[in-house]
Amino acid sequence: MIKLSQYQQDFSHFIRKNGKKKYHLAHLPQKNAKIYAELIFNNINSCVRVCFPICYAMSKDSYWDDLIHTFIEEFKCYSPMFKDLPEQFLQWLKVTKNPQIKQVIPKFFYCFAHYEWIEMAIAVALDNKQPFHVIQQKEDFLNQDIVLTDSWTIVDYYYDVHLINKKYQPVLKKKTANYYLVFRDIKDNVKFMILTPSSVSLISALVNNQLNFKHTIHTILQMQPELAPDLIQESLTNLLYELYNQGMVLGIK
Amino acid sequence: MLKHETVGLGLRREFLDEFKETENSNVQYLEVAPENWMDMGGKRAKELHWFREKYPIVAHGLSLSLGGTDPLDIEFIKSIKNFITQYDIALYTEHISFTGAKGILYDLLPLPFNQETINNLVDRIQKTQDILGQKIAIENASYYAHSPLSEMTEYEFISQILKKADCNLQLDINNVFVNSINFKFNAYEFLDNIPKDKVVYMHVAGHDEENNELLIDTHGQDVRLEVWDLLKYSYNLFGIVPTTLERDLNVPSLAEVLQEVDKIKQYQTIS
Repeated sequence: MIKLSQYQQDFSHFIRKNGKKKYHLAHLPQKNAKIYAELIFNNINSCVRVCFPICYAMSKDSYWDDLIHTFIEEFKCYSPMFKDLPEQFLQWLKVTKNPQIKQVIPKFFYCFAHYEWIEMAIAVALDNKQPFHVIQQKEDFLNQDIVLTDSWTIVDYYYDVHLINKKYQPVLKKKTANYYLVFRDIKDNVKFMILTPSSVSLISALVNNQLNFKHTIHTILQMQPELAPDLIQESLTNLLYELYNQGMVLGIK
Repeated sequence: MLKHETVGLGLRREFLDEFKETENSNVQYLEVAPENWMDMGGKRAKELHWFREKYPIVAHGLSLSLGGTDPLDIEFIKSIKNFITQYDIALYTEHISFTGAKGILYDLLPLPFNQETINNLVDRIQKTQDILGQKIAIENASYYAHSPLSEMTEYEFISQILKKADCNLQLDINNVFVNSINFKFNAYEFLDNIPKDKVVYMHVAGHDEENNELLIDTHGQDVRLEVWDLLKYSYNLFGIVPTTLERDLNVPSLAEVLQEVDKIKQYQTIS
């Protein structure tokens, strides 16, 4: 007698193989079993493609369906949350060695898919509400801890991902990375900002100093004593004010 | 707990904003899938808070794989428990199915109706109930393929699980109809053989007709006349219980969705 676990593994394998006859064993349902491969493809496809609208638009007439079929076949998803399906698709895209897939997708595809996914990831990331005071003037940053929005990250890509669409599909990697600040503002809109490397360094220094302005300046000057204190202070103030106007900096404690 | 004579609606993004503006509908509670709403921040969390202020909420699970043989996801059940506490959720329900082996396939797959499956389900339902600290209701799932390993009817299978696991039944009326056409059994006989004291919650929905012999439970059409008749019969048989309209695909205007909610209310009133 076939055990329940064997039945489930064989049925799941049959579905992962897109309902191909040679994987249809005698102890599996005989009639209509292939329908489950179609239902699961449709379900997973609709959950994944909504997160990657431009990737989908670029590939729907050629290789998109193959991506989803191969993802279902190769990747073992363990998150019960539907919001995690696009992330699992991305994880698969990064590690797959499937030669057919490698051959058809453009070199930038993973980076660009990540860029599309990060918008959804930031949109649904958990809240971590902190009280804050709005600022009256730029100088308010100087003596207080800074309060940032709940959900943000900095990502970097060696392609101009913000320009990619059906018509612009770069072939070569850039020599230097583009940095993007991605954050959710107080109205829950997800925004992207291109950052210079020096702005990335300032934000990193701020985070490493518990978002305290004075400590951040002190640390930067300790590491780079050749820099002019006034200039660093002005750069950080201006950056914070710009981020405040964009909604990444909420205010001060 | 919800009152018996209540009507609910599965919350969908398609009509969420419009529904916020709607007053005086017959919707008395909302149903959400934890897998689509739990552990989220931002707009999604604010929306759920907003609706919870106005309506009681039922959680209808999709991915727990009560019938599965991969290890039961204990951390996920603990998250559901937190979700239940956070939103003071009235009831948690899940399907009699499995969602994949060696990984999740994100759909409800058919189980063989036999003793080994019952034992596995009972064990996992009891563990789930122990962690949640409450009884759950299990749903009779729709299925399109019959396992050759089955040894009994679906109603015998369900009855044994209900008895041994000491859980309740969420009776999906559309699934009874869909399965009765797909597997040529009498839907009324099925209902007659379900334990009378276990039905605490019902679903109605529409389905798609693949061909004369195969219906697919898409929740993508209006509720069929035969399903309304079965709902009426079920109310007479089991008494009136909270009943949810599910509409997940091919979603029409909110006004049309609410007409079907009104219709459930009418059946509750006349039964």
